[in-house]
Amino acid sequence: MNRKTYFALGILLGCGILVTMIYGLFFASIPNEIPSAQIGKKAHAFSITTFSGQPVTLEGLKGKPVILNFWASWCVACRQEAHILERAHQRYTPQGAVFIGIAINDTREASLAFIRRFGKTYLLAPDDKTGSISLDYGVTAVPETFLIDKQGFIVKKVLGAVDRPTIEDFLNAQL
Amino acid sequence: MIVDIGYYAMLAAMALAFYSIIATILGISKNNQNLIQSGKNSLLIMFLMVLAAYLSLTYAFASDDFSVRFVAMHSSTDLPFYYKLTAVWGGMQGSLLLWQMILGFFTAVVVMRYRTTNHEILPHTMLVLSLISLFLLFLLVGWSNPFTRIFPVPAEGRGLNPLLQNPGMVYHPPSLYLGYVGFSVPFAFALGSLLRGKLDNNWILTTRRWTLFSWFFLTLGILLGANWAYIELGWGGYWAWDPVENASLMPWLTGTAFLHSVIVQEKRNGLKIWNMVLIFSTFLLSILGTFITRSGVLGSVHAFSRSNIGPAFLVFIAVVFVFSFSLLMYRQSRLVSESRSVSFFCKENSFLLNNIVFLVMTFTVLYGTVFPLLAEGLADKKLSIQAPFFNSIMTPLAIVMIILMGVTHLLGWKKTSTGPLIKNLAVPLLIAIVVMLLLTITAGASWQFFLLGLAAVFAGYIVIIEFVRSTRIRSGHRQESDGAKPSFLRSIILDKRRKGGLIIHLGIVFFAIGTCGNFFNQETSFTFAVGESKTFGRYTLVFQKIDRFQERNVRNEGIAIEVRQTGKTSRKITPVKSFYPTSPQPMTEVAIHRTLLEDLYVSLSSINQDGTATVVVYINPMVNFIWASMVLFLIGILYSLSYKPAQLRNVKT
Amino acid sequence: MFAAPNRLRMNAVRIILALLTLTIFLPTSSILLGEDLEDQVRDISHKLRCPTCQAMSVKESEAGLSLNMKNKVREMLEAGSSEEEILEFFVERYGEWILREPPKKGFNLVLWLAPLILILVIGFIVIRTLLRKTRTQKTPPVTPLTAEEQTKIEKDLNRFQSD
Repeated sequence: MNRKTYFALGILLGCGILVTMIYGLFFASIPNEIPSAQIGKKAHAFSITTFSGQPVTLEGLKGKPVILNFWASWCVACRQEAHILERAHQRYTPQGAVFIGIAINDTREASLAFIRRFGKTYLLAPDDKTGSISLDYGVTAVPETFLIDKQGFIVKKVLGAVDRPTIEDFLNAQL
Repeated sequence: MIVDIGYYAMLAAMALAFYSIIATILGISKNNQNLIQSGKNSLLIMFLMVLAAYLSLTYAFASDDFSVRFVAMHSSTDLPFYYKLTAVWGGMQGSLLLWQMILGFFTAVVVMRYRTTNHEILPHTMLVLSLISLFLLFLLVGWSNPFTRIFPVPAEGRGLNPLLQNPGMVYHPPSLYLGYVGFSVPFAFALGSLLRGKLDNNWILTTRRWTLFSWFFLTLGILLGANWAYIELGWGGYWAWDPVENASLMPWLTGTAFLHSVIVQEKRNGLKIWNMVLIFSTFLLSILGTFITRSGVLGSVHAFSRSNIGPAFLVFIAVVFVFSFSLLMYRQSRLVSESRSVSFFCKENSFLLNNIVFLVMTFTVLYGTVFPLLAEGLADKKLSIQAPFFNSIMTPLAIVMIILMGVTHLLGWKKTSTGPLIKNLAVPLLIAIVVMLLLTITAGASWQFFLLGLAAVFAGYIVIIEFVRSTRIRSGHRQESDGAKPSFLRSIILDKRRKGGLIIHLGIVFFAIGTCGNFFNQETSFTFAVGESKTFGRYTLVFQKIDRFQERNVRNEGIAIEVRQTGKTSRKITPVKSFYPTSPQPMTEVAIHRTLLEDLYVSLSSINQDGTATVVVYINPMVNFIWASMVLFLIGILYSLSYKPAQLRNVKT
Repeated sequence: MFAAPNRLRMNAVRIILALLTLTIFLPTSSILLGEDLEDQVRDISHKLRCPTCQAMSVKESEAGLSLNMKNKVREMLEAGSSEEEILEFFVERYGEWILREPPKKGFNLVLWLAPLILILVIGFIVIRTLLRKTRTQKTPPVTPLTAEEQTKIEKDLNRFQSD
């Protein structure tokens, strides 16, 4: 190892750092957006009782595509997507899709107030006491939306407020 | 009006920096002293212009001028006056301006200070400094202008992030910047002497104090930041290995390595290329740190908004890297270290080892910090690299480093006779082993604690003995020139360089003892009602009442707790939730009951609807040793700064 | 080098120092609390990264999701799950991202091994170079100073070193 080798190694290291930074700046994903570990896997089973008292299980919805949304009354982006979800529900539920909204870390009163305020009518339920449904789905923040296909596999996870084309593209392909 | 003056002053500063570069280049190539002098003068005026810009931005904050976008985003009328002044560096644009102001100030000091010395390399040094200034001013004018207006003018500002409304905000950023920017002076001298082709040790002797000064403020800045996190973030710790913290640690590691390895060049004419590499790396890493902090490539606690200056910084880093290292390669054949005839046990080798350990540490921190990007790019995986990784690699390295620090004091230059060395090592090592075995067994702690404590006791013992010895040699065995023995007081201030180093090393030992406390941290959480008491460790906490009070612009909701301890007078502490007018989420303000050896750290989780309160309580032993190390660093650095190397005493070049 | 009384004094300083270091640590060895389950919950949740706040561990965070995760950890511990099973449970749902320290397998070895390899390689090079240097540049044996020379040197040193 002579001086030239050391220099070459140093320059290699410097270039490595620069390339990594360029990659990080222009090509890498946003650091605080965590991809789901469950894409392409079977969706975890759950059973809920909606605010209006209707029992629902994922098992019982086999053969139907499911839009599973996690929300909370205290979350700002959830207000943004409230109408998008409700309209999509009005349009696609008659065609066989299922819309489910699970409220996490929320009080029953606040959730109900939110539902009334935004006129939500699809299947809305609280998570259980320990929040185990949101943990099963690896929820990192609200809102998050999971698109589950007819066979019960998770196709996609949307971080933050969901937009209309995402839902429509998915359901048009499924139905 | 005043804001406009600030903006035009910034433009003028940019023009002056540009002019200085042109004048200096022409002056050097035509060997025209007048042009070079004119370049120097324009840098002095540049500093005044930057100062004017800085003051006018401060004025905009002080007078709540929300027509300035930066002010509207980072201040509000309810903010106490002194936080309005510090809010100037509460965002990116303002902190870049602070950076440039400090750089301008240092440049002016360099121009004034070396009017009569360093004629040969000074023009090249000024060139480097004004190029850095030009880059920063270019960013300030083009990309992140703090003087941009906003229309319509908002009636109220967005407010300063509550995390930044803390005394830490007053001291931590300026101190860190003094350190970062300070290192650009030795950097400029190093690059300047490479450019000039004057490759003696002059740049190292000239910048010795700059290096010490910058090292001190960087250290202080990091520790003050740790203290701020401890008080403000409320999770009981002070260092999280967050990317932004790592970004400040990397230049510290290389800077500390530089601080030591220049001594080898000064005393023994060795490591010449290596010293250049270290100061270049230190400068580059401080810029890289700013890039990481401000561009948002890596997630972090520091809620800096992502900004568009990332690419500009990256280009600057690339240019500096390529230019400085290719110049070094071009000149390398002339940087010959003198062949040394040394034995295996000598100071030279221990400094070499010290540098290698610092290098591995820097690499580990850098590698761990950017690895999430590598993992995503190479394996399409999203990973977390947090404290456990860094702790498990850095702790053994730190242990080696601290032991090495102790051993170094017993080594001489060139050669140390092994007999006395072994004897001198055996006693402290034996004592450290006995002490730590006793402690580890009685406390039931882990082997990591044993080793870290061993290193600390070993090094601390040697450092203290050496300090006593250096004082005693002076007072007992030596005589003043007139034959009289120096008094005890005088012997304390003699031999400043050696004592300075010893005191700073004692500070490191204190720091190590402080981190040993982490092995004994205790934590609990409970809910209690008014009048109820809970016992934790040696403390009994009595919930006295719910306490609501207004403080400055903040509405506090807290609980008054009486801390009782057998045999001691009870103390009242009040952990609170603070509601800031401009922030929807309350902040948790912890209450700390400090004793010399441990902190009782109480964080309020919530005041529940039934009137009970939930708190998280930590007992953090030895934390105060970490803060105390700052005092030792200060004393030690004052000693070291007051020493002037013999070569510089009577030399005028 | 030192006269006998001085050596005595040095030894006294040594003993005092040793005792001081001992006392400094003593109070820290206070009794640990008997809440084993909670300690285990804290221990495990400190290995998980908070999904909302990110810079902290689940243990340190008070975000809603972190509280849920802590409860889940407690629930699983009570049901008899081991630490590995609990961490595996979260990795399956959140991916390796959730662990604050990547497991030492597969691609992650690149992370863990690089610093170790660097240490080994540098250590090897350095020790080889140093040994070679000492071997090739053996200094001639030094004859010990006579008492006369010793006093002369000390006298000279005194004259030069009073700065």
